[in-house]
Amino acid sequence: MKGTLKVEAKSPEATIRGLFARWLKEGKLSAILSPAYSAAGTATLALFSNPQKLDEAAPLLPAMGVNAASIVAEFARDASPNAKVGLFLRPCELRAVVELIKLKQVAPDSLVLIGADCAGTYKAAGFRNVRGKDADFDNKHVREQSGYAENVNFRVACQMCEYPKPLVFDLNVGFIGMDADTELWVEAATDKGKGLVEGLELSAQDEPDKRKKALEGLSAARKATTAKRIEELDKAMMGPEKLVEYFSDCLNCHNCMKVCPVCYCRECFFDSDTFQRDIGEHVRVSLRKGATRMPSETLLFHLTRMNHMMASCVQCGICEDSCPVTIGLATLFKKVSQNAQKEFEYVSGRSLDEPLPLATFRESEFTKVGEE
Amino acid sequence: MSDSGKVGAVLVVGGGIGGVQTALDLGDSGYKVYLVERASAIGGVMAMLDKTFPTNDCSMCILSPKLVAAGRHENIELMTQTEVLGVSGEPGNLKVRLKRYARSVDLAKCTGCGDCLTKCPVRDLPNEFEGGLSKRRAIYRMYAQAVPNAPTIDRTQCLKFTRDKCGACQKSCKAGAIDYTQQDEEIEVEVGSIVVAAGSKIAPTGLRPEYGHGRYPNVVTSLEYERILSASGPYSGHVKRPSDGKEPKRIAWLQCVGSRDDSVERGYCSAMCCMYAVKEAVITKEHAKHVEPAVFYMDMRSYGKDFDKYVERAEQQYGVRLVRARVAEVREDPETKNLVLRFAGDGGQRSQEFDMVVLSCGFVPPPELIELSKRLDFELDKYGFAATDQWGPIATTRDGVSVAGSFAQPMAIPEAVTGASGAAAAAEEVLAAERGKLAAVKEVPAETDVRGEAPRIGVFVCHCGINIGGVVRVPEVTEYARSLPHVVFAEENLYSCSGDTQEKIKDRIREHRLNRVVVASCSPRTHEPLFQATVTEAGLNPHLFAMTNIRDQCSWVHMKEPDKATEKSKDLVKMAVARALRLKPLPKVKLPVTKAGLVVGGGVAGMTSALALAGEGFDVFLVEQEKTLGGNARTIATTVEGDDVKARLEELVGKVTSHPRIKVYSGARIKAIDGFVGNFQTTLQREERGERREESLKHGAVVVATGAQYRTPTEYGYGQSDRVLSQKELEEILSGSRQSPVAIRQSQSIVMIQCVGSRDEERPYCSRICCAEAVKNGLKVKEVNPDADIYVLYRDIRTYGLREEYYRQARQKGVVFIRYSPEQKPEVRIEDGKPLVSVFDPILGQPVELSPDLLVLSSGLVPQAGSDELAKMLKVPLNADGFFLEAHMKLRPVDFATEGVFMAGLCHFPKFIDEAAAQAKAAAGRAATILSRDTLEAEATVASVNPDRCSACHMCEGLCAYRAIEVKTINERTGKQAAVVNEALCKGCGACAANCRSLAIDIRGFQAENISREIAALLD
Repeated sequence: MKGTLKVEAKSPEATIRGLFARWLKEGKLSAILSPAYSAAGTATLALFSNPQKLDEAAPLLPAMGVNAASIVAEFARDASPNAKVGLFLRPCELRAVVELIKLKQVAPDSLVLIGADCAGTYKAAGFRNVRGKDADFDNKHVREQSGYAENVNFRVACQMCEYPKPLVFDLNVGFIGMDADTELWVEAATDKGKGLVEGLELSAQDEPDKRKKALEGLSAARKATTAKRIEELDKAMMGPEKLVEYFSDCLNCHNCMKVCPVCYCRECFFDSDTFQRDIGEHVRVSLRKGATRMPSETLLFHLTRMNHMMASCVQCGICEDSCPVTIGLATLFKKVSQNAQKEFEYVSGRSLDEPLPLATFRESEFTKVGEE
Repeated sequence: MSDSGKVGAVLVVGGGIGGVQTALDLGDSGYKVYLVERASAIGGVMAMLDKTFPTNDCSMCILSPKLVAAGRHENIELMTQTEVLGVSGEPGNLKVRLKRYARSVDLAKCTGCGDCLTKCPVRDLPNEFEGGLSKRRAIYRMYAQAVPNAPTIDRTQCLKFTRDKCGACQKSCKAGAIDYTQQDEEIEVEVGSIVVAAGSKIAPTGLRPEYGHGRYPNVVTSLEYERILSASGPYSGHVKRPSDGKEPKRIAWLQCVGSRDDSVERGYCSAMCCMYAVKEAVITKEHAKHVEPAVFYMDMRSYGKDFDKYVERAEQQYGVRLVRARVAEVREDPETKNLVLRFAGDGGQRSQEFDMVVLSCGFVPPPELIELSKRLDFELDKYGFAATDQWGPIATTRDGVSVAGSFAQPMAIPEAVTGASGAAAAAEEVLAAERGKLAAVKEVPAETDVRGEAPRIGVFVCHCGINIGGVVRVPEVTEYARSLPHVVFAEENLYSCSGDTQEKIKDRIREHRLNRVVVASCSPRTHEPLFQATVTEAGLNPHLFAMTNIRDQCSWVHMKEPDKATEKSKDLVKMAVARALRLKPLPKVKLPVTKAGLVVGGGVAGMTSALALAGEGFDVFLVEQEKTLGGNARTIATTVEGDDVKARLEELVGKVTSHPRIKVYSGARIKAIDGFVGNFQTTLQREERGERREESLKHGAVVVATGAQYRTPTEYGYGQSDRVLSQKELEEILSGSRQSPVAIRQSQSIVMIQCVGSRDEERPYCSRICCAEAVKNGLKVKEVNPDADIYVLYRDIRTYGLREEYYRQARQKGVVFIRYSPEQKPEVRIEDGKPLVSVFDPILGQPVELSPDLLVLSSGLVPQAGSDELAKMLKVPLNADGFFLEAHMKLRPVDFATEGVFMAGLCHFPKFIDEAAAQAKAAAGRAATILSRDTLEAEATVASVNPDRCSACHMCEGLCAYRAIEVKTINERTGKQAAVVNEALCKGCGACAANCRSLAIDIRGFQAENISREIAALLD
């Protein structure tokens, strides 16, 4: 079921808030997880259940401080027969939710995946200054981005994102390629989604060509940006010495791991005592080399993270935002995961049915390895 | 001999894969086995092969573990260079006279180090194992991985025996194993049963002299070519021409050499040459991409599981050219030594030049077996294969003598292995009461509790004659070992594996109160179990042992750098000591076994399996969903060989229903199967007097024999005219159980179409039986109505093995066979209720119109309905076509990867009754290896989960080939989930641990921490 939805008062955001209110009032959803402004004016998320409180929801807020999938994993590991929670999230967040569902870290039964187009976001830190006091900032952003305008102030990962529309969703609300002042594109992909659309005044039609073209154009532009950035990265990082240098500022704080939506271990073994050495061992290693960098094992930590995350990484780049010493993780993980997923003909978050690459074996995969 | 007068021992003649499998099954089931082999080592033809189809597994890699297991088995006595002289007595109590030829090497002393092999001055003898393509000496080992690994002396060539000179090998042998005084001897053994697994040989190329083998150096046999491909072969795996060592570009395979050829009295099809030729072509392409292989064939007989897919890949992906033509002659260009093939092809006589030609030789029974059959007093068929019965394809004409493998008829490895396990079952049926009577009983001393003790490590460093000691300075390594922390004892040995050293190691453990043992010697793959047994005998847990390989890793690879080899040996010893330091004793878990089997399916396979299991002495539950037993066989009148199926089936049902150990549950459905190997619990549902009842059965093993279904055709006008029938319906008409729309006697013309719904995109497999069915029914129609015109429209006629004879008969009786291609399928239209068939005849080169009275469709077999449900309950896989998938296509054809579950019959893949019966017996033979035990010992090196770290992501579940790990709720109150390992099923392969990013899974004995400490020791 798909079609256009009329925008009220030139405010797509208010229109979406209206949808929220309707779904909560009709009891179709018991709560909705949506972006919201924090008291301090930066980006956060909130779980809304009372329609009266929806003024605080900012569904199209163009800033990201956390990948919401991490939050979903915290509260939706198990399904509940009574709860029906709508997740109003960005494409990269929904893709991470899909990966977590496949990794059995999120139970999908109580959730409805509602997506929204996303053309790019700002870092949450400092967003207050970008937005200033403009109450209509979100709508302006949508207006500007509905035709796609390159914005070098977006997060690095966003500048490389080729998925402005969610890949798996029950329902999606789109503005790219639309005249967002007057209408939004609404598309229900599943029965759950159709349930939400029922009763809305949609003018049913096929996805407008203009929208399709805009989405394609955006993807193409982003792919070009990605290629350019990876080329720069290769210069900075390829080769063992450069690789060491690339991570040489790492504080071993593990923030990148903690904020990663698909890094799902209960306890990271890098936080365990596996690598704890006593003073004697440290001194022995130091004696061998003359001097050893402390904290130790940081490179191993990052290599392991790349290895563990490559198949499920959704390239949201939240790791880079969390790094206190600004190591260029977004481009690095884009490169590593893109290459790895290509080898497995896999795209993270593309489908709930596609098996995880490391959980399957195909006779024909990696035949080159070992033979040449 | 026991009270019953029977002997709990079996003589197995032939040490190829068939004999080895029989011996292992019997040994594992509690019987003493004498494994007799005429050659100096076991392994047979399979040891000579490079790769195996359809999985391209390395032949030696999959065979070698079985050979090693047989060589080391406590119940198997290997008798190499031995032959059977004669037999006397009755089944159950036979006396066999054997002749053991002198090896001139004392097997008890020889350690297999190989020092003697390089000293022998007689070096130019043709190496028979390599097809004469390389040389061997007068003292030689048959092949590198030979079991036993000891060499033998060729007395006809050895200077000691021919001229009483030399003695170089004796001088070089530090173990004192060379014994020139050994004599041939006659021995007698008492056994209860005999299994002949004497194998077959490739057909002599002299049958087709016009192909020039022996005259033209670049014409080789398929077996010689296997050696050429093999990395351990005469050319180290480089594809080269024997004449000039150049890489050939154009290679031709000529099929049916000595097969399907009445002119040389080899009228049968050898059943496996099509596949091995295509495989050789594929492997050649993998070795050398520039090669252009071409296979000249008559019918492509890729009738087995996944065979058609393999051939298609060969053509599409590898560019193997398949040419349907029989080559008349091969001529050599004397200048280039290239070969010109003459053959009839498109547009008449053609000729083509090749650089090399491989003759796909068929298989013949070894001629010397004529003598053996006389000595053992059983009959051979007209070709010299052992004569057997369709329904008991394992029994020879003499009671108590069974046959396994390709000595019964030409067959590929999986069928041979199947027959071998079946033969084991047959022997067990005779000797059920003698189980365990002669089996070795191991006395193991009580285990010393070393927990809480400070580590006391003993290190033993091996010279291996000069194999290690000639390069590595062993005394220096030993001295170094002594200096390592916690090492309280270190010494060097000439041969660590010799019997006296084993005793010495045990003494040292006791004298020095060692609680960890390290041996630095050769490969753990071959020797670790031996040393583990030794430390166990000294009261240590076998997992307090660590081994490091300073032969392969040091003296062999750094042969010319003794300093570096010595330093590296020290490093490896240091690492092994670091590992030993943290080793913990691992408990062996013992699980009880319910000595009963569940057979699912009451067709021929299921009933045969049930009878065999019951005969072996186990209780059997036979579950059939229909109200009556019999399965598909109920619709068959006779086999192509003329067996009366109905009568045989009645006999079988009678035996099953009257057997006191078999309980039949007909009209029953399986609701659930819980548990695991040795301890299954199955819930049955059935209606009894209108009431639905549930019953619970306890058993230790499961045989799946659920069969398959005849496919109902949907094409070629079926259903539009009563004159369009399925092959099964024609069969019913011929047996009188169905009314024909036109009496067969009055039919002037019958057309059969083959491969209907088989070998297409939807079902890309061959249904295997339809060609012989068409031939059978064609012959039967001709019997009733000799004037009827019968046309069989086919793609390839696949009457493999001895069934080829009936194909020939059909042609002789005037049945017309017209080939069609999948691109130009026959077309059928129905006019006035009658079918009209048009087909392109490639011989006439034009379309032919036929208007038969009856159109018969060979529409193949499809998997049984409900297979996927049963598969889920048993946690076993189906293949892409929906048939049950065995653990290994080649060597475990009746086992599932899940232990304790076996399969038989059509549920595995379409097959004939004799094949199903053989597999059914085999399943019983395999199941006996479990049911014969009182307890099962689980592996000690299994996965273990730290539930605190487990994220319950389920990744490990999908990766476990043995279905041994599962995420469960481990705390009902908190709902906490974590992976749980079933130690009875876990093999410790480590796939789960490797993929667990939380490091929640460790393999006992190989903990990540231990390994990192071992690596850290190297870096220190």
